[in-house]
Amino acid sequence: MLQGHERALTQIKYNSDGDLLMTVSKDKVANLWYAHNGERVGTYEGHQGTLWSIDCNKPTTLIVTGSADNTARLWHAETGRQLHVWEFPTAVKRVEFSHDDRYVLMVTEERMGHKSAIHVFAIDSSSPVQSNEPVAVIRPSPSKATVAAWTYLDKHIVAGHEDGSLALYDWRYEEMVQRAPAHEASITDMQMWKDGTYFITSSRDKTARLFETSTLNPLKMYKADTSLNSAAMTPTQELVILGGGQAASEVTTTSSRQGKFESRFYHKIFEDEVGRVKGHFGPINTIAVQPDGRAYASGSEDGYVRVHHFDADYFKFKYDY
Amino acid sequence: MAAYTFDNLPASEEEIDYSDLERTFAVPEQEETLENVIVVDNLPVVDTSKVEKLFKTLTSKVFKKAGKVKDNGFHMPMQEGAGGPESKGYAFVEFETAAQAQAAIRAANGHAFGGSRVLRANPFMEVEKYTEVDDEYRAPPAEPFEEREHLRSWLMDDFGRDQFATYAREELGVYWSETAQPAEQIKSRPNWTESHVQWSPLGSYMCTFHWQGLVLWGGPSWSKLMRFVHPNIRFADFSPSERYLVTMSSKPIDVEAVGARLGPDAAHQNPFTTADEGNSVCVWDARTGAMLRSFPLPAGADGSPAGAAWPQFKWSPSEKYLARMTYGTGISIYEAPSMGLLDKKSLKVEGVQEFAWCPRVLKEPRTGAERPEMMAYWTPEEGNLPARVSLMAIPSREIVRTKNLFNVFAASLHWHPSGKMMCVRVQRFTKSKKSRFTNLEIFRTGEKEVPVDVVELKDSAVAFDWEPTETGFRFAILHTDDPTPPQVNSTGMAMTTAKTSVSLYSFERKGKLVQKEGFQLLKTLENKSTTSLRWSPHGRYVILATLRTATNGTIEFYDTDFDQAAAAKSGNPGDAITLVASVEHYGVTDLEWDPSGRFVATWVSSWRHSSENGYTLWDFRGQELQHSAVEDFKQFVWRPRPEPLLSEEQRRLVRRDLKAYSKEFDELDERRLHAADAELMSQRRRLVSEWESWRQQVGEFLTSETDEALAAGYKLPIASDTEDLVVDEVVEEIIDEKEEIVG
Repeated sequence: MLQGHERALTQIKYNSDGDLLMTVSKDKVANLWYAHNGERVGTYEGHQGTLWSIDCNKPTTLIVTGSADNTARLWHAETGRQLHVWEFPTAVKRVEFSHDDRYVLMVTEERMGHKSAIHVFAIDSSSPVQSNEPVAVIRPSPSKATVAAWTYLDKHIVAGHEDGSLALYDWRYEEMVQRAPAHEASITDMQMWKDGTYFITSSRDKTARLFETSTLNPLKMYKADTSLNSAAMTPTQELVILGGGQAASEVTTTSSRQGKFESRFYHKIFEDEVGRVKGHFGPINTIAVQPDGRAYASGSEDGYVRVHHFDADYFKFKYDY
Repeated sequence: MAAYTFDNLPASEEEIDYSDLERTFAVPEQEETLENVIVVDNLPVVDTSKVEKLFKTLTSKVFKKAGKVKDNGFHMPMQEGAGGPESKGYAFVEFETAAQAQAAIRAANGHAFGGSRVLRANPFMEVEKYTEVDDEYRAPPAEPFEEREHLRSWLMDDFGRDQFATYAREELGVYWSETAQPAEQIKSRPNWTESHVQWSPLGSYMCTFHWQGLVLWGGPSWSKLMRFVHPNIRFADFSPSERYLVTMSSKPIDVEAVGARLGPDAAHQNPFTTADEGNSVCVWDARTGAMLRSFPLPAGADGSPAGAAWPQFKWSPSEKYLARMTYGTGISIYEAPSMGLLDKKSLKVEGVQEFAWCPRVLKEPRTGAERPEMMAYWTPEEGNLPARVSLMAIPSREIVRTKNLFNVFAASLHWHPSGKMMCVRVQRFTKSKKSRFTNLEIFRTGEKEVPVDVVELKDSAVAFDWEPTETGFRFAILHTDDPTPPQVNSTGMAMTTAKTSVSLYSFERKGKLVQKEGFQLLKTLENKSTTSLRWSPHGRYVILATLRTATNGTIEFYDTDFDQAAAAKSGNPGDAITLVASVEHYGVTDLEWDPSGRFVATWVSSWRHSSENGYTLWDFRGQELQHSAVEDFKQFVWRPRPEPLLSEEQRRLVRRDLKAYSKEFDELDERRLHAADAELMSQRRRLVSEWESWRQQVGEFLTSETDEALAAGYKLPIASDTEDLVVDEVVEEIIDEKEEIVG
C-alpha cells in the first residue's frame, strides 16, 4: 500500500518497463514510485489544482501531466524539473504520449463556454523547449470527450464521450472517421491493448466492454453491479480487472460492504466473474496492470494506492475449456 | 356593449342596449330529462285511502337520506281491482336531481319493506330502454367450444421441478428451479405486471396487476386466461379451491370512468352497473370471469370507511361461505355463489377483534359424516365482562365452545392446518399491569366438548407457527423478554436486532390406563436474533431467520427429528432437535420454502433494501445451490402445488422405498449435470477459438498496416532496453549519530 497522497487518486500508470509507477491525485502533486517495493522516487510539484492524468514516454525520460489548473506540464522524469507549460482555457482531463513518443494528446474539459477538445502537440525530446502551437485540434460534438487514446501505429485517436459513444478521429486531418454507440452512460476509462488493436472501456452504466479499434465493433461485455471507474487488461492471463463503487457522496451512508469497493476480475473471453480483491474503503478510481503482468495497482477515492503482486496460484489459474 | 363615452351617453336607462350582456350571461334553459325519476317496484298493493300513508312511509324510511322528493313527484298508477281502485304495486318517484335519484335507487334496491317484501328500484330511463327490447326470444349464437389448456401441466415435468416467478426491474419472468445449474427460463416479459405478481393458492393461475384490472395467466403456453376489469386494483385473493376471486381497488369504482376508459366498442366488457358505484371490493367467479357482487369498504368505528384491511373476506374451507368483519360490531357472512347475506342478517358481535374459519371441514371419526363448518372469534374485555373466545358452527350459528379470559391485552387466533386444534395466543397483563406475558390457550377442536389446554409462558410470545403436518401436533413460538420491537426505518428494515428465543412444543399422550396428555416443551433455543419462524411445508424442518434487519441476515436450518438415537436414550423427543446449518444472507428481507419442502429461497427485495438485491436458493439442509444478484430485484414467488393425490398409505410406501427412488433421481441429476457441463465447455471452446482467429486476423492486418506506415515514414517506437538492468540497492545504515554544537 502506498501512502503518499492526501486526497483521492485520479490516475495510476506504470512506465513501459514496469519498474516505475506514476500516480496523480487531487492533492496537486504527481508521485513516482518504485513498483517493486513502493519506495517513493520523487514528486512533481508545480500544479495549482487537481491532477487528472499522467503519462510518460517509452524510455521514461519525460513525464506529462494534465491538471484542473488549466495547464498541462512536461517534466524531466529524473530530476523533476518542469520543462514546459501548456496553457488551456479549461482543465486537462487526459494526457497520453503517442506510441512513437513524437506526439502527446490532451483532452480538455468543456466549461465556461469553451468546448471540449482534443489537442495534439508535437514533442521534441531532444530539447526542453516545446511548441505551444498544437499540431491538430479535434473538437468532439455533440457530447464532450472524457477519455482518449492513440490507436495502433498512432493512426487515429479513439475517444470516449460523456454520452457513452466512441469515435475514431483521423487526427492529421482533424476529421471524424467513425462514430459508434458503445455504453449507456458516460465512459470513465479507456485502456489500449499493447499493440493498439483493441481496447477496454469502463462506464457508469455498470459495464466494461471490449472494442476492436479499427471498426469500433463491440467484442465483449463485462457486467458489474456498480458504476465502474476503471478497467484494465492483464497481459499474460486472459483477464480483465474492473474497479468502481458508489459515488463518493453516497459512501458515508452505507457500510463498506455495501459500497462495492472491490477490484473485480473477469475472464476476458468468457465474460465470467472469477474473483474479487478487497481492501479499499472508497470507490476505486483507477487501475493499472504492470506491463509484465506480475502485479497491478489500484487507486481509490480513499487516497491510497494498493499494489498487489500476483501470487503463484494466480499464474497457475486456468479456466477449464 | 356599444362603446359609450361621456359625449354620447344615453338619455335614459331604457335606451341602453343590453342585448350583448344578455347573450353572454343567458342561463341555458333547463333541459327536460327524466334522469331524476326512478321506478320503485314490489310495493304492496294498496287502495286509494292508503296511498298517502304509503308515500309517507317511503319518504321517511327509504328515501330520507337520498334526497328530497319533488312536490307532486309521487305517481302511483291505479287499476280497477276487486274492491274499487287499487295500486299496481309500483310507483314513479321524481327527485330534484339525478344524483339524488341515484342515491334513492341505492337506498331502495333490496330494502326490506314491511318484513319479507324486498323493494326493487330502477332509473326511469332504463325502463324506457327495456321496453324497446324485442318481445320475441332470439337465442344468442352458440360460441364454439374452445378447449382450455391444461392448467396443471407444470406438475407433469419429467424432473419434478418446481416453478417460480421473479419480478425485477420491470421484468417479470417464470423459471424452472434447478439445483446445479442456473434456473431455466420459461417465459419473461418486460412490463408484464404493473405492481407485483401473485399465484393462485393451488398454482393454476398467475395474476398480474394492471391499472385496468387483473389478468390471469397459465397453461403450457402462458396465454391470457381471464381478464377482470377493476381499475386501480390493489389486492386480489382467491377462495381456497380457486373458484372465486376477491379484488379490492385503491379508489371506489366510478362506473362512468370505466365506461369512458373502455370506449363504446368495449362497453360490454364493463362489468359494473350503477349499483356498483362507489364500491371497492368485488367478488368474481374465477372461471367465467363474471362479477358476482361488489361491496363497499366496511364502515369503521367513526362511520368513515375503515382502512383497507386485507383480506377483506375470509372463505370457509368448503367455499360455501365468505365472511368479513366490521371491526367492533359484527361479522357478515355471505353465501356463495348467490352472494346473499346468510339468514339475511349479519352476526352481531359487540367488540369483535378478529375471526378465523376452521381451515378444514371436519368429519365425524365414526360415521365419516361432515360436521358443520366452524369459525372462531374473540372479543376484548368490556367493563365487567371478561374477554371471550368463541367457536361458532356455521350456518346454524350455534356456539360450540366459549372460554372467558382475564387481563387480556391482545389475542390472535392460529388454526392448525388440519382444523383439529386452534391456538389462541393471549397477551396478558400481570396483575400489576406493569409487564406482559403470554398464555397459549389451545382448543382441541377435533374432539368432543373441545377441551382446552393452557401453556403458560413467562415472557411474551411474538410469533406462533404450527408444524404443517396432519399426523402430530407440534408448534414453535418465538418469545422475548422485551416485546417492544426494534426501531424500523422507512422501508421496514430493523436497524438493530432484538434478543429472542425459540421454543418448540409437542402434544404428547402418555400412560396406558390413565391417559396423561397435553403440550410439552421439547426444547428452547436461546439467545437468538430470530425474527421469523418458517416450517417446511411438510414439517420436520424449521428455519429460524433474521429477516428485514439491516445489520444481520442469519438463517438457521433445524431438523427436529435429526438425532433419533439421543431422543430415544433420554426419553425426551426434544433432544432430537439439531441445528443442521447456519448461514448468512446479508440484508435478507424475505424467505420462502418451495411447495415440496426441498428448497428454500431467500431474497433481498429492493422494496425494502436498496443494495445487494437478488435471491439465493438453498436446499433444506442449508447448502447454497444458486445465488443470483439482480439489480432492483423485487419479488420471488414459488408456484404453489395443489394437495397431493396420493393417499397417506401410498405416501408411506414411497417413503419406505425412498432409497431406490432416490438412486434413480441421482442418476438423472448426474446425467443432466454432465450434459450441461459439456455444453458449457463446448461453448467456451467455441469462444476461445473465435477469439484466437480474430486475434490472428487482427495480427495480419496490423503487419500489413505497419509495413504501409513504415513506407510512409513512420518511425517505430524505440524499443526499450531488452536487457534487465542490474539495480544496485544501497542500504544505508546509521551506525552512529552524534550531535555537536558548533560555537
